[in-house]
Amino acid sequence: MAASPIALIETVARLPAAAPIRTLTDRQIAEFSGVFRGRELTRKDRRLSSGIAALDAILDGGIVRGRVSEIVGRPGFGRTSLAASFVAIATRRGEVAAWIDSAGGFDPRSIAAAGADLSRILWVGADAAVHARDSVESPSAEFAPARAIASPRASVKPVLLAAEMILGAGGFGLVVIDLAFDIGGHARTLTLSAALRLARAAERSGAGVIVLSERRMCGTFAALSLVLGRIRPFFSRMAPGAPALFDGMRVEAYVARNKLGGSGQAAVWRALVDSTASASTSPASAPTPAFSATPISASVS
Amino acid sequence: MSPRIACILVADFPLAAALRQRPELRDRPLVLIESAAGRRDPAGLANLECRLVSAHARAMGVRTGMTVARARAAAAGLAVMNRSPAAEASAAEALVDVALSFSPLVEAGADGEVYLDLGGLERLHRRLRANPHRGGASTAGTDDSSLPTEMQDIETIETGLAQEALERVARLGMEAAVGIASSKEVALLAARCGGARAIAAGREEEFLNWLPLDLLRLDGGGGGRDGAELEQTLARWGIRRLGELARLDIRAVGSRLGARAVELMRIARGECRTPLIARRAAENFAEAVELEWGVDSLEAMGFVMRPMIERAVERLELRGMAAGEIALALELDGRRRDLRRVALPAPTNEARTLLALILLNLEAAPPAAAVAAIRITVAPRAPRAAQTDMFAPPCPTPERLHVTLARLAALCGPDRVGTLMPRNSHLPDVVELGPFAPRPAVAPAGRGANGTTALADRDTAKSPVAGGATVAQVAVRAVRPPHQIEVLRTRGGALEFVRGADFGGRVVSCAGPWRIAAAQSHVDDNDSGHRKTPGTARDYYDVALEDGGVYRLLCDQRSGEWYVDGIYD
Repeated sequence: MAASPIALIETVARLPAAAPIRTLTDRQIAEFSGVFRGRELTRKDRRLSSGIAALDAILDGGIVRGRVSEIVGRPGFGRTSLAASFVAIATRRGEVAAWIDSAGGFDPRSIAAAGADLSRILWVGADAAVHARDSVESPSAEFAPARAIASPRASVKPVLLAAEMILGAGGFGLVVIDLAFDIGGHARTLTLSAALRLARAAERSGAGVIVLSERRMCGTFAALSLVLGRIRPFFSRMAPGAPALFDGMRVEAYVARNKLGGSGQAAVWRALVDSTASASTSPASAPTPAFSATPISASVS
Repeated sequence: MSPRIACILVADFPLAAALRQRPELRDRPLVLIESAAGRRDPAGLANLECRLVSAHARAMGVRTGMTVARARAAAAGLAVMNRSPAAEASAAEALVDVALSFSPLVEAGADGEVYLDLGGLERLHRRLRANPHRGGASTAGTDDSSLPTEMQDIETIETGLAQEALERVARLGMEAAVGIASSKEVALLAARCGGARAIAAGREEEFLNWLPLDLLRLDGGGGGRDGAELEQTLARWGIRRLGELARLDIRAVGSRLGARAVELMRIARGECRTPLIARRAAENFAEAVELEWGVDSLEAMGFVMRPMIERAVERLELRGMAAGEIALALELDGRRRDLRRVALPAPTNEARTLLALILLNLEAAPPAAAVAAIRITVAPRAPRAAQTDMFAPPCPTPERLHVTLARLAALCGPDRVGTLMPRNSHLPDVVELGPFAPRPAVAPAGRGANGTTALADRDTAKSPVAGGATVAQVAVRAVRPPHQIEVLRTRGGALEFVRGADFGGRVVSCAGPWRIAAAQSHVDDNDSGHRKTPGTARDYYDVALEDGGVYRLLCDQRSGEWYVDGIYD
């Protein structure tokens, strides 16, 4: 029985470059390699990498496009940093991303510092339940544009509607839905029926959808549930007696659910304030400071 | 080559304009009155005269000049509306828009008449060949095989164009007739015959021959009293059709009946060729409505404005434009006016979105009194078109993106959608919102012949910060507005404890302070130009609490108050 073309191509592809090929002519190899490459590209293009090697390794290349992936964790556990990494990769590829902000937590400086092209990010302040400008007493009132105040009446409905509009428009490579609440805010709950609508919209558009939340909300409609664990911040001093500096933190992620396999795996990486300075340094699980300084982790300043 | 002129005619134009605003009255007998008080004076209404009577009401015995009370007695279910110059102006502009959708040379004639020059446009409208399944179309000649092939082709196109014009006028809420001929006069007569009618070049005489004299509208078509006398005279002479009038001796008729009769004879002979005087295309699309009763609720205004916006959008689509900005003029009770502009994030023709934006604007600043008249003026913009790159990552198409932005703005507010950028400032939380207009993605120059290399390279592109290693950039999650807290210090001045509503804990590690001072400055403001910002001085701290989170705290030096304005997340 003859092997299927795909199996044959994969067999050829696995051969070492110098291995003698007796059954195929050079022309056939070239043709097959082209087909193989196209298939491989298609498969790769369905994934969106985070750019973090440890995480991509356990996710088999990244999050799946056309599905909902949720990143779950408490405030300060690295959700925004991870989402920013995905956005940075997507926008640097030339794709357009959307960030649906339900709590006004989007900080363009740090998202840009993560490598994202801000001009390719559509920001939607979907906290439309209440619109209000900052109060005069607020220290940033005179500088900031219109901002929203989280309200007890805030619901997830505008967030879901905005997500459906964006996914329905097509052409977006990644949509980040930030449902996390901040200090003084109120939790937004995504019902399962809403999650189903979101999953269907994601599937139709083919865009990657990331939901940032405090807890798992999408249930079975999430292809991936990534739970971020307790962080460990790094503080350091340039020299004894010098002012302390916040260097970054260690982030732990656990795959609570992955429909495509790999549930239960974990990854660890560091999120640094100045990652460019230490990008070339070897990764280490220990809280090594970004530069040669004395770590003062877990010490009272 | 003889000129080709089309006439789009809406009969009983004031009635048609009224029915355009109240299409639900189309099947009911309708009369128009002229009264400054309108229907607001029920006692006086019964004694007002019916100025214009619809065909339906006429069939039921209602006549012009009857009082409303008599008309109501004659026709059950009679609808009475006040004549609205604003509605007629909007309808006239809509007719011009239909004409401009075919030809750039358009002249607005009397009420309900629009002329357009079709000379040389056959190729442009070739796709509009006459469809035999469409109703209402006819040509002057009965034996088309006698015409050369090219002329037959032109005639087919013109008939198709007339049919299309009828349909476009119907989309704008009116019923029209279209005539196409070599002169304005003959085109008008062809239109008065009803339906869509194209008179082939050289066949005007044949067409005019059988036309009844009534179509010249001697009594009501501007002839006035003289016209009525002229009509009676011609009737006494036994002249019933234009062909009979045309065969009279023009000098003899002129000496007996005057210049008006000579002019009519020239029309009957097809010799009168008044030039078409084109007007400039309208730059704004306005729809106006005068309300019989003042409206003071937002919901009711939504009901009134929805059809107005839909009509404006239809007009825009006919011209291949999209709504760019909306000017809303409200006439309020007490002779006050409320003018406002509604900015759109992107050109769109989605009526629901436009209505939502207008209602959002009204909700934010409600009118000071009940609204008596509404005028919506839409500034047109050309929809942006762009060619996407086959080898570049997919991007939203400009049209879909614009519509989506407008819908998002309607949902969340215009100041909640766009590109959020840091403003040029030392303060970390100062941001500004700009329009979202991503550049089209460009495929890298190094792509292979099959274009797949570029995708492969990009797909495996490494983040500049991550570099494929286990290092990422930490992001800040802003707390907006900054959350006020209380900070307890040790005797040495170090931060020891932080507490506030829904927040607090022992300080584990602390970095800082870093003082950022901003002097009084002038800042560009989109709304009001330059504005003055007060100076400020803040001390920033990065604080790790016992819950594991790292927070960015600030102490306002002016007030001494503490805030948390970000979380390292």
